[in-house]
Amino acid sequence: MKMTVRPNSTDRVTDVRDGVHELSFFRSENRINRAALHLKGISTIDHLVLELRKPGARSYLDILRMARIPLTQWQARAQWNGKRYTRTCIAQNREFELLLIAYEPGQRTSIHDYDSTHAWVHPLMGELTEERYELAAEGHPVLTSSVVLHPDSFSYLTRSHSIHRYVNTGEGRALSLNLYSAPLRQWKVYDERGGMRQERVI
Amino acid sequence: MTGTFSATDLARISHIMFRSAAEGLVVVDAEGRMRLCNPRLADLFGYKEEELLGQPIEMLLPEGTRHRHTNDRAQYHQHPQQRPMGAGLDLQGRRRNGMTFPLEVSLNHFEVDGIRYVMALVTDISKRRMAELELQQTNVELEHRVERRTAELRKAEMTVREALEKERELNALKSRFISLVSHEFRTPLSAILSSVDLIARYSEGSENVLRHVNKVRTKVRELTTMLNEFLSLERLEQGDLVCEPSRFDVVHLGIELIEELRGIAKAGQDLHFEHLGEEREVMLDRRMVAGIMTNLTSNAIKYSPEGHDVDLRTHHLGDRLRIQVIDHGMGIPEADQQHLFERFYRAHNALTIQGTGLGLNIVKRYVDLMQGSIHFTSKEGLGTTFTVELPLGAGTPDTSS
Repeated sequence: MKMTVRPNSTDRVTDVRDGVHELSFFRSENRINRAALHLKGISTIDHLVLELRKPGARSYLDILRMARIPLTQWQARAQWNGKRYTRTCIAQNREFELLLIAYEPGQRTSIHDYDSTHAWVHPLMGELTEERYELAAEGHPVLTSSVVLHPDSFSYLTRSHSIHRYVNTGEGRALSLNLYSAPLRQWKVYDERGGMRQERVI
Repeated sequence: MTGTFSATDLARISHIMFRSAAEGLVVVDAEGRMRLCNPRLADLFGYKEEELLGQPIEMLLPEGTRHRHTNDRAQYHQHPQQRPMGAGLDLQGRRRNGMTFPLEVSLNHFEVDGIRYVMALVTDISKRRMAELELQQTNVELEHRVERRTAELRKAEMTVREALEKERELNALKSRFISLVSHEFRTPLSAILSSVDLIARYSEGSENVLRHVNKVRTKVRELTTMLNEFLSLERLEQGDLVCEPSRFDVVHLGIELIEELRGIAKAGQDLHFEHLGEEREVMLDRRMVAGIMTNLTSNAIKYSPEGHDVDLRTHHLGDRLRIQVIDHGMGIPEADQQHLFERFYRAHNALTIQGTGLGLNIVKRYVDLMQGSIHFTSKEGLGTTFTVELPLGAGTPDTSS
């Protein structure tokens, strides 16, 4: 694991493992390891939310990593729908938004991106495939990578170059925990079939 | 006024006036005998003047009133006073031929050489009375006519009420039928959609299969939308739909909706959602807000050609939520714009595109139920922007904690 920590900064740190990108975002100058020591006891969703809401010391990624919450707790909060994947808001304030995304087999998000500066996606159960896209010259999205998320991974997405989609490629249900900072305010759905884009006249 | 005339002239003029007066004039003495009368009076009663002079005045009255008149006259002579014409009395005269007629009398008294006389001015009011009677009759007739018309109107009202009641029953029956059919259709449609999804999953990426699967999906969605519109309209018509505000996050709703609507987006058509304003939570009827957003956005998609994006925007303005849906599609012809919210109305340039003409009517009703406003700007060939503003309930929470 290659990691660079810069005190007094809010820079991101990249961890490339099995094709999954991880970045941590520091909310203060405190070092990650010291902060992590106090979080080993996060075993409930409420405690996790409490830690996320605490101003200061730790990065969101560190807090997420330290959580050891039984799957049954998440499953109890998840909502499943045979017609579409669902989004359940676990917690939200002006700094972050924590969502639980539930997929029945075969369900997928749109190819989309959003405005949040940072987002982490952590698979809680099932087989979740992350597809990343780039825009072709004609303006339609082109698949650039497709990776099954490792159960321990925290996939990182940032505002730029983050057109993506999640697909439940497994036989059973899939569940992911998504943390956005700042909370979502924009969401753009791309047409996956391609086709000519028109110049927008406003 | 006698200053102009000499006493002789004045006597002559008075005599002429007396003789030519259009009203009857009679002078009666204390015994009730007529001492003087003009031609008009004699004419009124069908006598010659000389036949009346020296006769009791009662001869000009109907027999039944003569006795009472004698007493009245005696009393009047004892306490004479001026009495204006009519003065509340219903008087009758009697002609020579025995016919009676209504008259009005004004009385005055004077003395000549210490002898008191009473002068009566007599007016035949037969014509006026006749006119009054005719007026009364007309009034009575009018009243009867009004009563008849009222009765007719009541009858017509009853008929209309009955017809309305029948129509209501028919409508209720129709609504129940539509409701039943819509519900019954939705289950198999849902099953079709699920099966189609499974076919797509097991097709191993076969383009042909996926193309047909997508076609089926699109058609099933169109049918589901139509059924949903019929069901919504039925609930609105029945008055079943009431505003039930709850607190919800408008961003989550917006994202959820455009994620769902991507299924009907056209090739090359991207959908954007954007929220403005510090707050995200609102206190509104979530189903209705979702209905408004879905209807307007799906219309924007439907009436835009391939490759033209659609924007859904929400703006928390503190006291109200603004929803805007912007497309760059075919626009609405000016002539159609005033009718756009009418039930089943479809713009002329959209007649070949599938639709019920109910969507905007339902949107308008939702907006009205939430006491909001809706308006749009549109240019044919350039696009349309719909703007909805909904007043927010008090106490939108602070989400910063």
